[in-house]
Amino acid sequence: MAAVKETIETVAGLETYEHGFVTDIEMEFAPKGLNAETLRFISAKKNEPEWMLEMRLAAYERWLTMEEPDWAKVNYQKVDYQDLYYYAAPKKKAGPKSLDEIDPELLKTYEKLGIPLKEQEVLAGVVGAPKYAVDAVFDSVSVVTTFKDELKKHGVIFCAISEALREYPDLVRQYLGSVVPVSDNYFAALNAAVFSDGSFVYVPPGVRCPMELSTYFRINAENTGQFERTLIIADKGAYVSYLEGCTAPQRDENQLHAAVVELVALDDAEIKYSTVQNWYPGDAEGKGGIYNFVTKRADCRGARSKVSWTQVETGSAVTWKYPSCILRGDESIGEFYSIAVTNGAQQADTGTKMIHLGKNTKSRIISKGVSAGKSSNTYRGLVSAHARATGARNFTQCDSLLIGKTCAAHTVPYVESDTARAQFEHEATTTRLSEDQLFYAMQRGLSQEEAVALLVNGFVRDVLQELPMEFAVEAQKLVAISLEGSVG
Amino acid sequence: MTLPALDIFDPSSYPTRRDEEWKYSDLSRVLREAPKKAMVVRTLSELEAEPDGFVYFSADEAGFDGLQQAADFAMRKSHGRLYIDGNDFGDEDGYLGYQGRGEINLAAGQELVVFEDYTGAFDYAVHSHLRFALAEGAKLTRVVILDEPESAVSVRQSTIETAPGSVFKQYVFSTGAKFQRFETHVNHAGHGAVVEMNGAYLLKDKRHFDLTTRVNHAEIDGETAQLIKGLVKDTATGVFQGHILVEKGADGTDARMRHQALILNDGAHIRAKPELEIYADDVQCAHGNTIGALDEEALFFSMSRGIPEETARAMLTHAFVLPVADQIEDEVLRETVLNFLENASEGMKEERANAL
Repeated sequence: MAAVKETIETVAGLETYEHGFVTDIEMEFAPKGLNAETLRFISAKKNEPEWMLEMRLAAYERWLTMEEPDWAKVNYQKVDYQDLYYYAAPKKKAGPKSLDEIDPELLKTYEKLGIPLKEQEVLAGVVGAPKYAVDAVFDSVSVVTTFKDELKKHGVIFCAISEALREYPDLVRQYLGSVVPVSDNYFAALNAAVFSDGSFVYVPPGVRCPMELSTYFRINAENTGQFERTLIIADKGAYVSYLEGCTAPQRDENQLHAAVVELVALDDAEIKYSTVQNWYPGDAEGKGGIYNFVTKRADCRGARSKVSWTQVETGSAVTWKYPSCILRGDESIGEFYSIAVTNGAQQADTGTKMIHLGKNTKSRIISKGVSAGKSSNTYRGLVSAHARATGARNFTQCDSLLIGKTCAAHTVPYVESDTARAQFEHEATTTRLSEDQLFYAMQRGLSQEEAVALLVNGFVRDVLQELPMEFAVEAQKLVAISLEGSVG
Repeated sequence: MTLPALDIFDPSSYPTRRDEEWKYSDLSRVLREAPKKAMVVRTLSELEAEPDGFVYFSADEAGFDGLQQAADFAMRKSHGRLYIDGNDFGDEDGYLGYQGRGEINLAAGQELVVFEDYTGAFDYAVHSHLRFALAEGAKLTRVVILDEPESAVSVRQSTIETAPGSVFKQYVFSTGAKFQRFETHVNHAGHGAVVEMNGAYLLKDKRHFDLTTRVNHAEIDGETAQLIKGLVKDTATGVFQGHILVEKGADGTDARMRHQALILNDGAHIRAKPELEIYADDVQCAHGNTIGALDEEALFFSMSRGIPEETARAMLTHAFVLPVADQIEDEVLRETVLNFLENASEGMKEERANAL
């Protein structure tokens, strides 16, 4: 009875945040606090080229003059930036990286999280099962990247960004900061100054990346901020699908995750970027949890390029995240599919920006927000068309679902058009879970919690369909888990 | 709910684009210094019921003193129809400033139709604030025509307090000005109270019109409906900011907001921000926002029936905003508005004809 077993497992998983454990491992830290020395320390640790250190220092100077944004509908205790570790890495022996040399504690951690770090493990699965390559980032460093060699055969570069800075400095220099400039916003400037690791992907012209790429982010150490930096470049006619997952231990204090993700799509290229974000959300009273302050932006630089963002946001105490597309190339396409689920005392302010610059550009936004408990969920988005963006098309749909009397759902769309030849449509609705549907499902023998999960999964189905298959299943479970305890 | 304390004679009180509520309308950039204070001698006009059934009230230079008496008189003498005529005259060199406040209270069950007609000439900067308070079961219909000169700077704010069972309907029609903002704040009392806030704008040249509305639902069973339609051409800017707030416990709220805009040529601007802020779960809230161009197929169809292109364009333009005016119950006012819209639609056409 596989179904029964699965149900039991799901229910058992409901009890707690299942990724809330801590790995006990010897770590190496940068001195606490943020100053120019910290940046030099990080840069030296990573053997970075000189220009990178200069960029960091310039970003830091810039950051000092900036103010933390306060326009989002979120309230949180301000971060004390001097009380953080900006670099934390598991201690490792010198020498070439091979899986055998990695601390077994670390391997166990990933095993527990269900992330395959051994290539043969992936292969040992069902015959014909799709492969996917993993870059595992643990606090401030990438511990391992799988299938690197196989990918290289196809010309695809997939590695940690700190490695790319050493191996492919020119490529990185050409694109880094070209989509999200250092001065873009407060958190982007902070990230540019102190970023430690993340993934770098380059897909050469005409290559369809043979497997899914994914990065798994794990925050482990206490009082540590994680500053992920990811850069993905799809050259002319290339295709890549990339997935990002994240978890963190259960702690009483808040931890900061300030990431910057840059995507560049050249002519006819396509990037599909999916996120399953499951940072520790804090307890029901709002104690602890991750602050997820993220800047993600794609530049559809080439004609007929396409970028598709799909995100499932169930974790984090506070989310501040707007994956955007700059539709610069003619006939380029931007898509944003989002599920944001908030429960307990979580707060999410998330959405997208679609900036139409090129001719006949198209964008589509489907956002599904589910609020429960005492949480607050805001969709904030911008769709704009430049005067030259003739033939621009946008369709936006934002639906919010409220479960319970104490939660909140907001919709803040900005629509700006400067051309007569653009067509923008925006629809938004806010309703609660239908009593009739709930009654119907329960009358068929489902428990109240199962019925809610079923209806919510139906509500978010449009977006789930956009996820790669393996993750769609996981995401569906995640949505159900996040809503645990929200009814009755 | 507090309105930004704007004082037209104090530049430090001017909101800028950094104020979220004024993001798309930066008063501080239009008025760089305080306008001259005009010598205004205000005499209360004699109240009389006009033959067309309205009581006439002159509100020139933003003079709203005696508004309540005029409303009371209108309710006694002319079945509750009040015509507020605001004429503002400015200077030819530098801005003349006017500022004024007015208030009308409606007792339980009272009904009032207010027609506000704002016109003017030359360079003036006007700021007015009207407050309407409705007691239980009262009904207020407000029809506003903003027919101001291209040089005008005008900020007209109003606050409406509703009560259970009351009805507030507002229709705003505008052709814009150098800078024109019409702002309505409604405290929705729920319990069967109904709020409708509709509007249409037709803007050309460099005109700027900003329609901002905010509705706070604090109680159960309140209904709000909004339909705003707009057209812009040349380098004009149309701004719509609608905000519906549903507070905790305001269950049974039904709120709908719709904004539809047409951009007639490249270089004209539409800025829309239809916002929902919801803290109660048993509600139905929706908003829709569309921006596009005149329907080419409808244009082709009209032309294939022998209608010249320019006439067809004016017809379609007119037809686009018509549904807003059609909802006005008062026949005299509906006619007045339809005439205004027809003239405005013609205005949208003429320069294009020259260009061809």
